[in-house]
Amino acid sequence: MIQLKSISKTYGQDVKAVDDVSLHIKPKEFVSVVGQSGTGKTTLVKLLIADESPNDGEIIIGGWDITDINANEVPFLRRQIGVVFQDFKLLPQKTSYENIAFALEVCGASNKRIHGIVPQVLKIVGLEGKGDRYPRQLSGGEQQRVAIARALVHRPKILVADEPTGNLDAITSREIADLLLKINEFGTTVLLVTHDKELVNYVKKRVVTMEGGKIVGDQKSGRYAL
Amino acid sequence: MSYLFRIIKFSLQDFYRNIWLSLVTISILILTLVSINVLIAFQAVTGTAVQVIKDKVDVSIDFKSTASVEEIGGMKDYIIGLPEVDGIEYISKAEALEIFKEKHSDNEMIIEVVDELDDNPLGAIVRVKARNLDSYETILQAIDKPEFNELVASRDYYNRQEMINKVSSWTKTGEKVALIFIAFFVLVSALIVFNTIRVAIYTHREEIGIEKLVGATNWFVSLPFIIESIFYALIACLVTIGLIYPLLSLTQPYLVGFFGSNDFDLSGYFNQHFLVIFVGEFLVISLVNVISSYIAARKYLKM
Repeated sequence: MIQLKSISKTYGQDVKAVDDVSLHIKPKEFVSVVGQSGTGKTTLVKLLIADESPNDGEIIIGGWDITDINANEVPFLRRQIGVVFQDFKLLPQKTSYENIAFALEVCGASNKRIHGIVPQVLKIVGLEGKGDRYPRQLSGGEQQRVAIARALVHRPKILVADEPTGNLDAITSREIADLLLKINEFGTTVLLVTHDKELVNYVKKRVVTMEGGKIVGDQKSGRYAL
Repeated sequence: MSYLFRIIKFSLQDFYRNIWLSLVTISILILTLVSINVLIAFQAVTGTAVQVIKDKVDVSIDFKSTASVEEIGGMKDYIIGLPEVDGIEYISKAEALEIFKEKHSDNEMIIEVVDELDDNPLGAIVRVKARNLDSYETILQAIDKPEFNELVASRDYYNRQEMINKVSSWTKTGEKVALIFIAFFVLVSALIVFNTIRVAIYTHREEIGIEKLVGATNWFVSLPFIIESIFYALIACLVTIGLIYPLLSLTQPYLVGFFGSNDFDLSGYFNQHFLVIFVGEFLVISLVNVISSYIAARKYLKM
């Protein structure tokens, strides 16, 4: 599903964020990418969603070589990769329902389709009946669930979660982890990027460890080793 | 359809969220449009003024009272046959006397003297209109023949060429000054629209980031800003129409004084050319705005 072949990304003259990284993630796999701050995890996410382009190497997503992707093709890639972030990135003036619907609206979905999909994803993320609430009326965990629901509306093949529990307490973090595992069970490849040791140990899935922009460990059913 | 509806909805949201900036932008566009319309009105007035002056130019041939109707008729036919002549007006001896009496109706002494005369002392008059101003000299030369000179008492040619040249010169100078003002306002409008869209993009940076994250195309992200700039043009045009007609009505009494008649109606002129003037202005200002906002969107949305 995701193939990274000797990827390198350098900022400026000598800041190597990602250094000769090769990684193969199979379809329906759940992979945790761990490492301390500044090890290149977020750069890896940016490369996957074509927010950045690599200096060297090749990136293939679902058979599509996105290494030198055209700017006009980026939106179509992003509809195949759902992304959630630590800061949720929700629009405060829109309700949960509207935030989720927004992802479909901007891609030209019909109102009928929006009214069909949004309640479904709200149900999947456990927010049934809370569609009319604004982000400020929701807890951190619920806001992250809205963000995950928004990432799911395009039925992506891949879900990338970049520090999704960074702003959440331990119990809520586990709830989010459970939700990601549930989404993975439905057949979506999940890439969890985190430095939350407890979360990785709780998930008990493949762990890829990064340090200094390189992959220094890859365990099939591992634990947070750093 | 819903796609277009959403783009328009987002445009209106952008418009209202930066309402003060939108109003300032529209004000500048109104200034530009008003200055363009003032130039159009100026051209219409000066064009009419030149035409009025041209219409007053003619050659007046006063015949001797002894000239017979047949002799005058022969000369009339000759004049009409000249290629430079557009038309003639014939005033008979009797009509000339009537006109004279009417002109001096308040002077009893003159009227009494005329009435006491046995014969009509006035001759017939022929007024000749040329096809263009340059032809009058040619016409005068053509009728300067011995057989006609015996019939003609006087030839009167009132040359208004100098006045026409003056009006034309004022018109050209006025147009040049107006064009400089218009070019300045159009440039300022383009820069203001560019800045407004830039600020609108900055205000919406969070929303734009999310739009791009969830797969919105560059066109979907930028079109609301481009359409917003067309809204500016539309509102500015409507307000200009609302402003320009009362202004035209205010100038009408001065025009009547200037032309000496109510024949020229500036509001009527604008009504007659409404589509060309206002739809044309809307299209031009929209084009300027679309180009400005497209450049701003391209620059700040990294399209």
